[in-house]
Amino acid sequence: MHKREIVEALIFSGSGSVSEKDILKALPETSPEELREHVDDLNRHYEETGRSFRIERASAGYLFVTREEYAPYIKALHTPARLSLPSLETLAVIAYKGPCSKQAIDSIRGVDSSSSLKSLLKHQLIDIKNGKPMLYYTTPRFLEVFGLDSLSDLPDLKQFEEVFREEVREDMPDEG
Amino acid sequence: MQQAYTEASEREFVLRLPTFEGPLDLLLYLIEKNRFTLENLEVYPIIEQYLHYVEQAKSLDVTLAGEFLEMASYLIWLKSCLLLPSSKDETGGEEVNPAQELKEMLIAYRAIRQASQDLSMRPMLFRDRFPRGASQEERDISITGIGALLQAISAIKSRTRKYIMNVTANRFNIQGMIERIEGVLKRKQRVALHEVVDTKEKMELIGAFVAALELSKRSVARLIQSRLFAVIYIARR
Repeated sequence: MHKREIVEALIFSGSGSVSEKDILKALPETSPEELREHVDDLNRHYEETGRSFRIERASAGYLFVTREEYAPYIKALHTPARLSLPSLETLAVIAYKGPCSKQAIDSIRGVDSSSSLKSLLKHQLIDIKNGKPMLYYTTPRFLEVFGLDSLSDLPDLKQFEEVFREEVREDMPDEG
Repeated sequence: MQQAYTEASEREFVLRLPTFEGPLDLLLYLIEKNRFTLENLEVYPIIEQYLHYVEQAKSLDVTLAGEFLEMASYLIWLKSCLLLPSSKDETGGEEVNPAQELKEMLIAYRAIRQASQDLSMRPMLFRDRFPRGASQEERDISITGIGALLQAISAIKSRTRKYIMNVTANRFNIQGMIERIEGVLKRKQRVALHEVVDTKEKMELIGAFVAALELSKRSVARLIQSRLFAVIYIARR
């Protein structure tokens, strides 16, 4: 039995993400780097043999996900998740500025975010830190959904600010 | 958001109404439509166009969300600031540039909007990538955990708060409070205002204060307070 295949079996055994900590617990004398190498090796193998899935690292854990090109078929089986534009905007504020209060979110967006917050809570993409005021922050599930290892993987917000300061719009926005 | 249907094809704004998420979204649209960048932004025409839009919406009986009107009044204030000569002296030398404030607000909002578009371009789980055992049920899980609990508590709190307000307002009786103070003043020469109420409830304190004022007006009692925020005494006359 190879360690690589044991790693595969461990990740396969979880229906969602299996944390790096749990895998290392089951595989003593393995370093996180070694684990990462095995996962990379497995992914290379899947790619070479034309498999429909790969292993992804998200929020300090690993999970099997299907490749994007198979999404149209899988969508026929499961109704795909949808986030409204206001919810996405609210989520972006929390991802970049969180933990933050509802008031802070509303003031950046210029509108009331109550229903977006409710929907994001329902999808478990955000959670609330108790206190006064209540603070909203993104969950590990958020990282999983957007394929991020940590929040620091998000592109710098400054980059978006600079673009706007300098750019000259050639065409009108199309926000249909 | 409400839909606006109109036959008037020249009213391009109105046809676009449903796409604006809020006042900042509308302002950014106007800036882009005028081909301004934030550096060469002329605030004045943008304000005019924004107010024009709000007026048009009103004349077409479209109910705009409150935030649009709030922004309109902010912009009217901003316009007046721009028209008046610099009020540098009044503010004690510190120069406040309201137009700059608006710009910063727009930069921050626009960056977040870009970031949210960037987020939605990422391959999303349950949309572009599916984990093992992805099922409808799993995704429709209702809210759980501390978030749900806090939300429920805050919902209950806001309900009960309303309830208490109503009951206090209805139960509270100024005439009763006047009689109570008169009763106390029969026994004592003077009494502190906060001593005539049973609870620390704000509404009851206000009631006692109103009753004391009434007694003072009727020349039954005198109100004494040694200095600002000190204890208020009601004294028999």
